[in-house]
Amino acid sequence: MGGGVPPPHPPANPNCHNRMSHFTTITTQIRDVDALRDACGELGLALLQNAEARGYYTQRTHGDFVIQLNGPYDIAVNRQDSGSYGLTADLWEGAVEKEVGQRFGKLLQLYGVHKATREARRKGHLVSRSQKQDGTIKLTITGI
Amino acid sequence: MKRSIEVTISATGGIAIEAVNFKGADCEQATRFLEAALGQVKGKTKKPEFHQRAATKRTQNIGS
Repeated sequence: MGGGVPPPHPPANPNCHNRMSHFTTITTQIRDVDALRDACGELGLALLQNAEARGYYTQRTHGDFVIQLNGPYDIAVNRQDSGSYGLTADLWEGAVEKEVGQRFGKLLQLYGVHKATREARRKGHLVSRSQKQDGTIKLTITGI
Repeated sequence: MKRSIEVTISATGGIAIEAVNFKGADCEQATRFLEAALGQVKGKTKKPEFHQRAATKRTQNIGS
């Protein structure tokens, strides 16, 4: 083997986990308003409590919380019977999508990042965060 | 090997959690708090290592 210098940020290699024992996939459910507030903060958006979300023309819809967007419409965040929060917005012409991603994807992503980080730190674990080129965010939790 | 949990969150909000270098029930225990906090578990795949016993480590020296 030559003495080549390894790249500073080696790509993630799923094959390197020679003793990985399980893999779980999850559909994100918003249940933690503080983590949602962190996600909004990272996007540069305000989260208002008990407010009105702007919709088409003069339409308004009430939200237990409202994510105030820079465009013409806002996102209403309302607690559902299940205990999780649902997101409602006027998705016409992609104004909302532009700020928080398709189907609120970017917002849900950052919510997941902040929620997982909060929960791991609460248990005293260490969290490091990295972002891949395709926009995926990876958290590595250690100190377990 | 250092134990870790890797959480991969796609730009569409989908989450995948991997327990790395855990064995058996330890691994289920390690990620449970995240699974419960983040949402609804869609699927779980156990790796072959799951079936190894955490305490099982035997060394046999032959002809030494």
